[in-house]
Amino acid sequence: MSHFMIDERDMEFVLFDWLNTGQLASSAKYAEAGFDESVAREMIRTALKLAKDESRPSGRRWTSRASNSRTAKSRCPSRSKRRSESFAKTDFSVSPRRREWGGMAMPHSLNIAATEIFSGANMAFTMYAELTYGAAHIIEAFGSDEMKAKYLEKMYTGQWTGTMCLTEPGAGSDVGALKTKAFPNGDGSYHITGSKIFISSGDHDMTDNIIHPVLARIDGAPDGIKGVSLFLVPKYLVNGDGRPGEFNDVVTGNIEHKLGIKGNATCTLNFGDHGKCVGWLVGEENKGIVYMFQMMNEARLYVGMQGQSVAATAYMNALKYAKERIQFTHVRDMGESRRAARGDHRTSGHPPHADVHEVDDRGHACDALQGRAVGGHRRNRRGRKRKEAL
Amino acid sequence: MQTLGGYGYIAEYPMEQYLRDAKIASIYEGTNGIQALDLLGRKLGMKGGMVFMQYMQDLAAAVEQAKGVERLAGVAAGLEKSQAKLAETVMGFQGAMASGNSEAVWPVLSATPFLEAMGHVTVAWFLADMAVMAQGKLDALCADKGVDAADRKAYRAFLGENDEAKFLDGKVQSAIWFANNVLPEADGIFKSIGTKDLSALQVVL
Repeated sequence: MSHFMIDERDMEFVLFDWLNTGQLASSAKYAEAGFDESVAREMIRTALKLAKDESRPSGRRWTSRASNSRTAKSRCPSRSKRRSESFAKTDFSVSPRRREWGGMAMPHSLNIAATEIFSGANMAFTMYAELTYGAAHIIEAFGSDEMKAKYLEKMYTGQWTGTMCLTEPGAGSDVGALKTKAFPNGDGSYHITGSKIFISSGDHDMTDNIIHPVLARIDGAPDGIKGVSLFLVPKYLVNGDGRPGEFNDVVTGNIEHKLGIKGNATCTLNFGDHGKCVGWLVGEENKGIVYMFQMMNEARLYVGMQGQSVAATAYMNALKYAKERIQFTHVRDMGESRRAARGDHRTSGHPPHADVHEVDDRGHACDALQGRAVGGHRRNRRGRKRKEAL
Repeated sequence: MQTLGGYGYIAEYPMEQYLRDAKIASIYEGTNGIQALDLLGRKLGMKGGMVFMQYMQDLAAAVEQAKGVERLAGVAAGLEKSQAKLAETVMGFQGAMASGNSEAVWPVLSATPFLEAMGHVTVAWFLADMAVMAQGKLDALCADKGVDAADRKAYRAFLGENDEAKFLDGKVQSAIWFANNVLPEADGIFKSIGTKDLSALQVVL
């Protein structure tokens, strides 16, 4: 039993009334892509259905199983591969991108709204898609044509996922202190060595390949942030036919045991421990942080959205509980609580409220009723759990 | 979690997972402290301060709109007051950073509470803006259904039976609640920043 809830009317109000997203149809760019308000509303409905049908039922099991993995490679819960595929099929994460890379050229605001729905249903899972989008967008904006041909469609369509590899044991907020190094191989590629830690979505077996954008210092480059370059490092080297081939010496050193988002494999990744890790420079040397900032800025907006998504489902759950909970012989919603606080019971129109007031008058009967009510509540929950287990 | 009490603390309900999942947001992708320094160092001065100026103009315009809605008079007054304190604080920061003396460290030390206070102002603004729109729709709905909002009993009965009216009224109430219960905290934070206290740096640890 998952508990994802969202105020759909509020989301519609924000998108279509307040922000007037529908008016974007008057822009040639979006009209050409077939966008109008009805399409947008249909997308939101589809996102809600997907979140409820796919993310929802196993949102909690996903969490605990992945956290128990102690293997060198991260394995995901059994249903996650199917969920990942059905998620990718909807093209939600790629919806704002251009059609040539598998996108729908839709307004970004719609993508954000859909992602809020998915994140509220399963924050840990949705991170895989979001990191993939950000990593692919770096390639689209700053990568070579060869990189785009090799990676973009695969990533935007969810066949491969992405990460962002910045943090190291001695370099967190102070990214410029990083020690991962890149040595030119002479053929345009680089040999990468070093360790990255706390890498979200760092390793899993949902897709055939994982593409890591890695910040590293080219041998001889200046100290600090000004000597940092960006490299693309695939988990498996890509063959001439576009399929993943030889393992690229990106070893999962550890899967962190952490407080939350346990369904996302947060990994220590060791690059080039066996001298066989190859990376390709994105853009120009020593400009890595500039390119990475595109992804960081997108990810920062996404993190704000994550907070919103979890707060929204938490609020809806708390509201539901408060309305149903029998306590001090009252069934109280927020309005009932306020009225009770003012001692004004006359405005109550809810039958349960009226019933318990009769009991109130008998004084000692209150405790007995409360005991029964709470007991009944718990029995119902257990009964429901047994039913689910079956 | 607090609403659910003990049930909120156990895994049978989703609250304990929500709490654990959400905590990472203040840590990864730039800690809250880094975000605060980003706001102070990069965003306030972005495009020579023009971005912040635009923020202030848009906020002022929203306040004027809210003033035109009777129920939101208090919200508009609260926002106007907080906006003045925000402007005062930012001007103080600019002066301190330009001073080149030891006072230049004061904005840096104040960055995190400043982020929180500006966040309160921004949320209050957006809620007020949505409330203006919601009240307009609500007035139209009442007129359409022949409900007199001044008749409290009839109005409450209408909210009880019409989901759209209940939702729109809730949007207005949310803005009022936030402006009265949370926004004043921003004024307190601006006041605390205004003490220019550097004891956290002066203490020997």
